[in-house]
Amino acid sequence: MLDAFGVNLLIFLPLLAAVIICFMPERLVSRFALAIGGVTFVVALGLWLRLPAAMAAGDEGWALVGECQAEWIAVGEKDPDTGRVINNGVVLSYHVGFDAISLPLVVLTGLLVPLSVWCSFNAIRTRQREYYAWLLALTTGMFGVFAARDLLLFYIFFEFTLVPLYFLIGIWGGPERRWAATKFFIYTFVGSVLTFAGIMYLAIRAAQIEHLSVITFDLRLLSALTELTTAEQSLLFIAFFCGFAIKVPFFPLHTWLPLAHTEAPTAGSVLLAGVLLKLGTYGFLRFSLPMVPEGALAWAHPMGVLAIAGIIYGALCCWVQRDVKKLVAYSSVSHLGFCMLGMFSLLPIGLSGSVLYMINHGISTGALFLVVGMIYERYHTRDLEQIGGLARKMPIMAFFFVLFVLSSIGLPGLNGFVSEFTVLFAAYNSEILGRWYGVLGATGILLGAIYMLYAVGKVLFGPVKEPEGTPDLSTGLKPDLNAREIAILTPLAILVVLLGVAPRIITDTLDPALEVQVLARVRNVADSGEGVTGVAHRFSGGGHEFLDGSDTPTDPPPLKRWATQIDDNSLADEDAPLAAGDTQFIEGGH
Amino acid sequence: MPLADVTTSYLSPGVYSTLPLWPLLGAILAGILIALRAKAQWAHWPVVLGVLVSAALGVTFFFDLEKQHGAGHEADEPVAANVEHDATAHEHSLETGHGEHAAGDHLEHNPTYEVYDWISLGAEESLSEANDHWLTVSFYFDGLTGIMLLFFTVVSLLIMIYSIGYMRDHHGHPERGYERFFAFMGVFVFSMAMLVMAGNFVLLYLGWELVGLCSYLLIGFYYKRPSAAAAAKKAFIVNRIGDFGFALGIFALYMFLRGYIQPGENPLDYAVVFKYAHHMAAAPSGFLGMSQATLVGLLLMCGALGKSAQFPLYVWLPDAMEGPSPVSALIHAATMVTAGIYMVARCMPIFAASQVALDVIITLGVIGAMLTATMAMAQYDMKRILAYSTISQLAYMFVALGCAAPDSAIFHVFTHSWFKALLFLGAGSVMHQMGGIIDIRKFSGLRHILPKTYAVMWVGCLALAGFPLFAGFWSKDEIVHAAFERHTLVGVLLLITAFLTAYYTFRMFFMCFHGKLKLPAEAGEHPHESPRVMIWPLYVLALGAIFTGYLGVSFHGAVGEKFLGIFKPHGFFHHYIAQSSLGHTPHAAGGMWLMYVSMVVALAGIGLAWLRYGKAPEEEPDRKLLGFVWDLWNAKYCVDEVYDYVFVRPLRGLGRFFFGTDNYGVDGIIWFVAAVPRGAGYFLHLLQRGVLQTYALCMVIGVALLLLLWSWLDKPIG
Repeated sequence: MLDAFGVNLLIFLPLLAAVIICFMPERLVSRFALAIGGVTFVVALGLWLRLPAAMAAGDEGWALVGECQAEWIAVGEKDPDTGRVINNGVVLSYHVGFDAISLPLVVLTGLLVPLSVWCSFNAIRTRQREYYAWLLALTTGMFGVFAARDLLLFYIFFEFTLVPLYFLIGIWGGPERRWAATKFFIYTFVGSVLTFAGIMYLAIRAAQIEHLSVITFDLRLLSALTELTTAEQSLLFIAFFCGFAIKVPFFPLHTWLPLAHTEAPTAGSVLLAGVLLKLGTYGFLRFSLPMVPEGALAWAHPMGVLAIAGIIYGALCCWVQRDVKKLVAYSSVSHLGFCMLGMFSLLPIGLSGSVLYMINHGISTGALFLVVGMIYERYHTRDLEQIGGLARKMPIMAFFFVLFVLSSIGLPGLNGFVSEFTVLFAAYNSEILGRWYGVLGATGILLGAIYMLYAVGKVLFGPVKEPEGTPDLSTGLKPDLNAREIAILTPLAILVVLLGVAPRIITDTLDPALEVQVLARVRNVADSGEGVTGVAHRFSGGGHEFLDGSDTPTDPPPLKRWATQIDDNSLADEDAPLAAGDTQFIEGGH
Repeated sequence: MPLADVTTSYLSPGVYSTLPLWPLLGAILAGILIALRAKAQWAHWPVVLGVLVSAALGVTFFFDLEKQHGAGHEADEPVAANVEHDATAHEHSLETGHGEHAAGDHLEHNPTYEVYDWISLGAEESLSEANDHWLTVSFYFDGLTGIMLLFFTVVSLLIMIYSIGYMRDHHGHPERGYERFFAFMGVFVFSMAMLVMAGNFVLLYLGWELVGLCSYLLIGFYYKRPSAAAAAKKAFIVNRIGDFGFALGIFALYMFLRGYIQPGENPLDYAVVFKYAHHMAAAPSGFLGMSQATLVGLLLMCGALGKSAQFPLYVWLPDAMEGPSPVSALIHAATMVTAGIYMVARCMPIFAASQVALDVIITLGVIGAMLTATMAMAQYDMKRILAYSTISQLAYMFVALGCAAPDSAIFHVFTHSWFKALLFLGAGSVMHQMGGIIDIRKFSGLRHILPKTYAVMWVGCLALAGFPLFAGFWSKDEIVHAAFERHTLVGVLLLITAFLTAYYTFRMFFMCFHGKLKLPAEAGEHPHESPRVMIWPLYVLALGAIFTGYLGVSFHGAVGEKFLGIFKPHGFFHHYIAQSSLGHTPHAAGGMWLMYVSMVVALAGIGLAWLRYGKAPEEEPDRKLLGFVWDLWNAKYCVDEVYDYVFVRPLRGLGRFFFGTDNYGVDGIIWFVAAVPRGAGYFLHLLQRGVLQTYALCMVIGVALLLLLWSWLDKPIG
């Protein structure tokens, strides 16, 4: 009960606070917003601590913390006694709760929100009320997305996040902010409309398949369908892809990102990189994989290819940037390529690494944006040709900058390594992607070092170089980081080390959840064509069949197996029923 | 067997496992001192004490292992006979590539000590309880670890103590960044300890990357100098090229071994790898017709090429001399750069399963040794000469590895670390007194003002040149022996390199210390000998440079044996290291003649250098003699430039191209898609401009079309 209250608090408190802020005196709003952010962090952390108990209580991988369900929009014949829709209807239920997959991201959000509020204290001087109100409204959207257990509810929150960010970029952004905001909004909105179509189709088909008289968008129900044809699944995968891939951003649909990131105020960049991009990858993980597993299998190769293209392309683009913020923005393209690569290896370690990547990228890239913002506040430029040698002037900043860069390039012992290594490891050992994906992906560890150290060298090393009239300390900043800024970066620095040394904090609960909610689905589907025996090997580290046999190489050509299997299915289901169901299911009833 | 019996060991493995932590703790304390803005001159204390504890643990561990080894070993048979026995056993073991079984009971007990589970490999229902579910933090306590820990902790300690004096100005005030220097050094000792103690490949990779990081930070210590910043970046990135291969090697290893292991074994644990490595000898990898062992071996070797600065990835090491001299001594000569050698030696069971991989190692080693020795002939920067000689010596070790003589390689690692650290610190002492000048053309005759440095430099140079009875002589000779066993050509090339080494070492030495006294302006009024805190570590290292070699030979002072004849190869060192994953390697049975030949070679090199450079001439005599060739050597064969034009610029050009594409190509397509509705909107808006005439016209046309349509469909109207 308390948990459910906590979940609802996370979702609605920021929104409520946003409303309150509009009526507050301007001098108080920033501190008020920070306090609200602090509350969300505490609540998120508290829910995280409740997770092991919830998982132990049963229903292990599916366990939800603070589950809460209510009909929200319900249309159709209602039961006169209970008022529930029982026939010929559509129900959008407010079904929320956090599980082991979403909770790490929730805690990350809960941490990044107060930090991004705090980092705006000095930078945002105009229209503060609106600014913090929008920031908190964005918070509601982010928590809502991770809490939603109903596909339509997810979609609502997913779209809702666009609005506050649109204003944050459009009002408080850099010189090209209007254009950036518009591009960002339209780009992502267009993609997600197609996702919406997919959601609708999936829900209707689900009701038809399960012979339900009421259309629902329940996540668990939709993740358990077995009768979707391969052709349907492929199309649905594409529909989901359109919304999620743009959000990720997945090469080649990333072009909104560098602009939006560069123009956004620091807080916007932090939340955009730290949380909002994860909505895309989270969407793939949460919806595309378990709901349309055959589609995911069918598209795994193109996804892997695009992920690798993104890794290399993004990294090389980074290397030629002059604007350090744009460099960090492009690095997101490269990094999220890793994340997607791991996911579509469809191995346990790959999925787990992929989720870790989301967290770690959120921490390190968010932190890098914070640091870049702190430099910008002092020097009013991000041009790598105009600043240099700052290690001498700002040693504390240099320490944090180098630490986060090292995390970002996957230095072992820091968080980035764990996810990068597991992801590449999975891609290499995946029997769906295969070793060349691992090889090409691993070039990213080289390119990452090249562009990041290029940036470090330009910003921190060499003779001191400052634009005329800087550092600008008129707003009360110190030449080096002040206590507030250190306090902002310290928690992230601690996490960088902690998650590098003990990733178990996350994976212990994450792995079972991924297993039950996602992998089992993919595995079953993959299995259906081949019988039970083959799959255990393919997914569980495989290769044991060679133990008793001769010294045959353990490099079976699994790619072909997948391909043929999928082809067979799609041939068989060529004439997938598409429209026929629309009326049938309503007649079906109980 | 190592540490299997806790009751007889001095300390438990758990205590030894804390070895890496002390310097890290010291580094953190030093960092806190920075944060508190405390007095900088205290900053070395926590780190030096931390390293001291590590060194104490390292030495204890070394003797601990020896004690148990002795207890278990001498019982069955006399040592001398045992050598023969093991030698034959190992020949067999090389054939099967399965060292530890043949080498007797040395690995009967798994020397792995597990600390905690680090990275999950993902939930797998069937195997979730099993060990292979986790990448662990585990340490591997065997003889090889013992040797590495012994010398690297002690050498580190000495260099740290030296640094207390070195990192100050002439008045004894700490220079800027003093605390930072010690903090980084502490992190380095931590990382290196993790590297040599690691019990699986992922932890090895951790140590591997962390030492690379420390190298980066310390090369860039004087970050204000653009050349130092560039050198730091270059070092890290070139190392990452190697690490790219190394990581792939780990992936491939996992993939291949998965097919052989029993459930519950983790294919990345050393113990498991060594157990099954021989299976990979014949199995095809599916890539260019290589066997699995070849593919894994070559990929792992890439990592070693980067870290140990071997051809073709050696280019970062000479530039790394931009760092402070103690860093050059510790990281870029004595310890970190030997990590690649250590790794290949550690993975010998894999390499032993692939003759191709071994041959590639020999080839690259010989190329590297010759190439860099010739480059060193024509340099003027004292530290760079030493850097090239480091590469050249590491190449020797590489050749030894390729000859399947890992114990010889490690022996050379061991002796080399003493005398090369000595040489670098000596060079640092010179540099310190010359006001940062290191160009050997700018000073000479320093023996008059730096007598103590002069004396220890004699020792270091003789050891490097392979002068008889000095440490370098024994270890180098062993490698040359192994090389001759493998192929005469390899041996001859190594001998030529040995001649060049002796020559350029003493060219440098004579140009610095002999001839007329000449000082650069930067040296100030009265350059004087370095303080005691710098000199005493040099003395200890000098002792090491003389005597460590004797650990690798045994004495048979039989009557009638002449001169060097009393020394037989295969001493204490080899017995000690045999209690590791290496097992016993057969020692080269080469005759005494080779010992005399290498003695002559070394003496010839030194003598020729004396003749040509003994008076520290102003003019470069070699240049007149060799002309164009000398200039090529001086320009380092233009390898840097070639790399720049072949790799760096095209890649960056590709980056520019991509970025251009991003703005116009990729985004262009998106905008083209976006233009479709916009265009449609434009055409449709033409119909809705509120002009009545247009509407009327449209209506008329529409009605006309409809009428036409109906008539065409041949239906009666109404």
